[in-house]
Amino acid sequence: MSLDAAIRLTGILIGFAYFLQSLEHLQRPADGRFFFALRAGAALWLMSGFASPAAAALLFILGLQGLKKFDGPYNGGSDRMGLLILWTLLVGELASPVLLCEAAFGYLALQLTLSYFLAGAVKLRDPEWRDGRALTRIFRDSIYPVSESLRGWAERPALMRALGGAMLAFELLFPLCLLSPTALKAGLALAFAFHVGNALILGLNRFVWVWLAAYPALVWFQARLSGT
Amino acid sequence: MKPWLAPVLFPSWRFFDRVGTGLRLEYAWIPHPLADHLGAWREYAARPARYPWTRAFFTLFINAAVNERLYVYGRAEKALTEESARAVSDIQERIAEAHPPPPRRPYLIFRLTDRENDELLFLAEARRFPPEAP
Repeated sequence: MSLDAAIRLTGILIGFAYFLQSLEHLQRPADGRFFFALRAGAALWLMSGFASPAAAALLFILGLQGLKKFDGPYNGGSDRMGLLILWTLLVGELASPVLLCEAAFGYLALQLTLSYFLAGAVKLRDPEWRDGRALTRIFRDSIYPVSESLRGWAERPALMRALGGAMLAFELLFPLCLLSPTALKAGLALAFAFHVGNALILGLNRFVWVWLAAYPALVWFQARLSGT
Repeated sequence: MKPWLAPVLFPSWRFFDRVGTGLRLEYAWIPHPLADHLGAWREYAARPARYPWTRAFFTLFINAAVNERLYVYGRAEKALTEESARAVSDIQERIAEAHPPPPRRPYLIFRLTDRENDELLFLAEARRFPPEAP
């Protein structure tokens, strides 16, 4: 994938993610209808590709305003990744030496890789994650499971151990995807499935679309590294 | 460096690095600030018993109710760990919006308990909705 194609695809995907998020907020008048209508419009504008640096800049400013409005992120990590994508996209669109564009998108690819690897590394240090107790507590006591029936999974220790182990292995091994285009395709497919599972079970739907928007940067980065 | 800038430039990816106390947020509407509220507690945004997979598919795209619950519980964590008055106020306003006061019960109280052992962790002072005219 060329850098230009990666930048264009990233703009479409992050615009789609912000458009969906804005629709959610438009259901709640107290969140500010004008603000989120403007953000939905800016997201569609970015997707259109017309004067996209201005659209990315507007979305970034609205994203920062959102942090102020909600006294921090509304949706934790997905807000942080969304803003990271927007500013790297803006640099990628505007920077004149191509090396600076490449540095910005390379940084996004690196952060995407770290988002999986570091999440696994911090869990690995915790014995509760290694033996499945942490996942059991998340299903039994946390706010995340989307239904009471899913809480019942906490009573199945073998399932919790298997899920916890699979998640740790996936997160820690993710950087190996950079070794070949085939490994990357498999890794990103697995990563997307991981986010879809988290959305269906834990309700974390915003992560699906925001993380997907960072994938073109990694596809470009892997091709750049391997010289293809 | 501005406090908001660092997480934007160098995000932290320490998801679930610790699994803390499982909070339960409960609220009650009472007739006056010192009213007996025993038995009046309701869980905020209690989750459904089951979630049909057809509905779950659509929530991949739009999941406003669950994201709102995650946000309010995030505010609850902040109220508890940082004693944030803004977080307490945000929670009160969002409860009042989602579950408006019944007739003759204009005062809202909420509490946070440990989901595992029901220990009381936080009790907010009563707040009137709508506020009394000056």
